[in-house]
Amino acid sequence: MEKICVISGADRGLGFGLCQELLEKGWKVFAGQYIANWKELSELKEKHEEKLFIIPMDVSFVESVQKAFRMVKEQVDHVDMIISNAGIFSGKGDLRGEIDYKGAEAAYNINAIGPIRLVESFLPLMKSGLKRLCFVSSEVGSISMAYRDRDFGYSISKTGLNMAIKIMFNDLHPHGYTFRSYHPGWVRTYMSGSKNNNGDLEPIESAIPAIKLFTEDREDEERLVMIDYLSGEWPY
Amino acid sequence: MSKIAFITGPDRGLGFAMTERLLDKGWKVYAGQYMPQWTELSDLCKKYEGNLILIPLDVSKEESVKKASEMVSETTDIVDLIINNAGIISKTYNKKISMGLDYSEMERVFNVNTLGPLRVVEAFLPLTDKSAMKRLCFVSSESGSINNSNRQDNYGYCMSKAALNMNVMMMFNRLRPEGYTFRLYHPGWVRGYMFGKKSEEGNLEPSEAAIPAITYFLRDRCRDPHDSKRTDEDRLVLRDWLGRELSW
Repeated sequence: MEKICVISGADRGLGFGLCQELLEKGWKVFAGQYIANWKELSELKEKHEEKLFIIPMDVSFVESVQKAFRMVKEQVDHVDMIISNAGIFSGKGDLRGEIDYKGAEAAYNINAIGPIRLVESFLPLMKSGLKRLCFVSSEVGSISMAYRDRDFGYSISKTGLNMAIKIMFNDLHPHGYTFRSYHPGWVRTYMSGSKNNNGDLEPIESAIPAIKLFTEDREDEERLVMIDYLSGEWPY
Repeated sequence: MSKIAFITGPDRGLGFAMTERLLDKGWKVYAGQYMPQWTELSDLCKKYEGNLILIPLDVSKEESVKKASEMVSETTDIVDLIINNAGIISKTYNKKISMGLDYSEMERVFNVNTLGPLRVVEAFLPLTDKSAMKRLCFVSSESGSINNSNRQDNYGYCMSKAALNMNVMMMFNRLRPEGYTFRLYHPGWVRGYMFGKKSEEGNLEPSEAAIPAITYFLRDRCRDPHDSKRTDEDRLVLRDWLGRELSW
């Protein structure tokens, strides 16, 4: 049977690559669109008319995510998988320069709290099916590996996210939900607004191992771990 | 000459008890008062005349923290020790994800518990830079340990403390090479005022919890108890009130 996925931040970068890869594998995809005038998703829609559905979604507002939920609910009776992918890079600054606190609040609101809004809103559609919750996190959230000494906002938002995933795991895993936490590597994406050309990977190169991790079974579902694009495990 | 501390959240609970303990040990304390209507601090001022100075402070606002730093620098050039103690918890902390979560509360808790200490450290650097001690202390919590977490609720608070631990790690990376030393601390389950009135649940009275806290904040960390030269300041650890190290 056809499987169904909802993904946030699908407009471009890694999120767009994840949509492409899922469609390749025959999934039905509800793609959360944040930027209405971005063309790539609409072009992908022309290619996958029956399988791809674009829904407006801003994970920083619970009303927006709940509206997206109602739109999905009109079309399907369940969702197999959620991919929480939307994220921003903000909250830059050095202790001996100036720290952007407003940017740090925005990063936390989108990167750490956004995924909770997404899961809470879509849980009513996940009582059957695969029951898989996937999160794009990052090695920048790993405290024990942290070497950075500035641009606090982004790193602390991902540490906060890792805690949020753990609490969801503690609550929902006993009810049959399975979890994936992914560090995508340094991808050439649009996290800071314009495309970063310095990264190690093109979005699709990170999307392929991501979808493999998200869709395949794991023997070790009892343990929540962050896995990177090379299948390496990251500590907290 | 007496040493000088700045503490946040000194109005009541653990913050108040730590303030009293520092004064007892002969420190001069600048206390960032959040609740002027709460009278305990003013009473303490009478007892330790001249050594306790109250400064209005709301760590959730940059302007307030900058103003506090300016006020402190009117009467001292040096701050030796900062204790970042101010913290809040949401009244709806016991909600699981299917019970309706309060997202604006999560943002507020993050703003106070996680960004507050960053604002304070940044604003007070000109004062701590002049100290030989350069000690930055942070009241965190075991609830910020992702490895140990078995909770199914309390998103806002746990996330804010995990994010605080990362915040402190990045400050450590930035300031340790300049000679700063760090204390990241879980004080135990204190019968404080986190929920507005004094809690009846908990293992420790604030005055009991303040003793190991202040001891840990003031003494040097040594790898070898018989050799004070072998310091252990080059590693950031989260320790609890019994000296146990907690994992991240």
